[in-house]
Amino acid sequence: MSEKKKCPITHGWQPYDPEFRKDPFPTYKEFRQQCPVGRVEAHDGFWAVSRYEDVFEVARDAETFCSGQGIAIPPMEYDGRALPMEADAPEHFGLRQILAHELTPRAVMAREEMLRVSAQKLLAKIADKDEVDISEEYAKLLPTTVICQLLDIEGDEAQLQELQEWTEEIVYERKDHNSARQASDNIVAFFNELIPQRRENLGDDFISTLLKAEVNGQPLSDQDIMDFCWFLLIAGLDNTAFTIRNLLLQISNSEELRQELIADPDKISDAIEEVLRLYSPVWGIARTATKDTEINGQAIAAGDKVMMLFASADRDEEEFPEPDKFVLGRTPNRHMAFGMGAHRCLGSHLARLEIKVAVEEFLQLFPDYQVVGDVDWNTMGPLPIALSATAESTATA
Amino acid sequence: MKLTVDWDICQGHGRCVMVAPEFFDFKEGEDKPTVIVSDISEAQKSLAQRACRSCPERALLLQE
Ligand code: SF4
Repeated sequence: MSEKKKCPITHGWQPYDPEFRKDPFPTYKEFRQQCPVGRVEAHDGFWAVSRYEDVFEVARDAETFCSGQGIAIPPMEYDGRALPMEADAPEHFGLRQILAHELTPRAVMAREEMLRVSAQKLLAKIADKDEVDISEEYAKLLPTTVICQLLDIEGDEAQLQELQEWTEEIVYERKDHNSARQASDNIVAFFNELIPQRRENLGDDFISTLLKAEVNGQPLSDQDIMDFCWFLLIAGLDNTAFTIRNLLLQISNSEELRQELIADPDKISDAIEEVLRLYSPVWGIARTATKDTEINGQAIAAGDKVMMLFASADRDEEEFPEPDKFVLGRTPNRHMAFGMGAHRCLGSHLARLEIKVAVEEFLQLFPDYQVVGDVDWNTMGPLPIALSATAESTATA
Repeated sequence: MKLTVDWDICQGHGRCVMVAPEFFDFKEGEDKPTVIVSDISEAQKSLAQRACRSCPERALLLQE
């Protein structure tokens, strides 16, 4: 371990403190300005990397900063690996390619109609209500429906909701180890039942693709298949839901933005990029140094954990002028919400399309919707919405 | 001017396709884009520059 002087800025940081999570951005700004590569004591110690350029360098160099020793701090409540994320070269590329073909821009575009129908069905269910919690009844359900279609999981709404709740437990409720472990075990049990059935009855869903896949002439092990399935849920559900929620909240906060998007729905894509930049669903991903090295002059020892703070990098004033401002059509907008480098999010094209369809369909049906009352940003919490302008609303600016 | 992609660096984010669909496209089955126009005229220069600046991996190059 390298010498670790206590940094007054980052030393005592508690990344999962609910108060901090509500508005992490002033803290990140302090990190960037005063201690851009700062030692944090919590969770057995790690380096918090907060500047855009430094995160870029770390993400780019998968040899010096590997993923195979865990991408989360503290580790996720799962004994397997989050695949393909937690594999390193040379194994990583082959694993990644298995699903890459299914998630190319063209392959994803071919699913647009299915996505639209799913969104419309969900909206039809809430259309005659005056007020709904759009987090629970839309933002979270759409990605769940989509992933179930991709995995060919049949289930009623209660089952879908259960899957969604398990992933949320693992991703967001990181304070309570027991319930996260329980949720993770539930997902494993769920796939333990499903995978053997699927093996008997292969189709063209993602699980079948994994079962049929070969890397260097070898099929995947049962554990690898479980690892993929487990991580597909973790990666595919909450992050997309989080961004749908954020964009609907952002729109309801600005009449100008609302009118612009209604007049020109093509601009929704730009709005998505900007809301991803402002509220990165994955705020950080960890790496482990494979050798003694340095980041921006700070010595890092082999074995040290390094946390790339995407949510901070994406508000770095050096990269983004007026970083806290929502700018529709900001160019360039090289945000890192999907990560960077060899491990970049494999599902980004699907996620973008899901969010686009979700917001397009919603705006079309409920152009006058208003958020009711004071709600939290940057969470997966409730988002009560009055669907039409005639309903009483007390949206806050 | 020539617009090129460093394929070792490109990770298929597709920002270039979003910013400059005139120059880039995703073909069926491909997870990295195809450069459909690589000879960039003076009139196209600013769009090409914009595309280069948009690539999060910094994989795009515009050269004289
Ligand atoms: S933006 Fe860059 S990384 Fe993304 S597809 Fe284009 S060249 Fe590749």
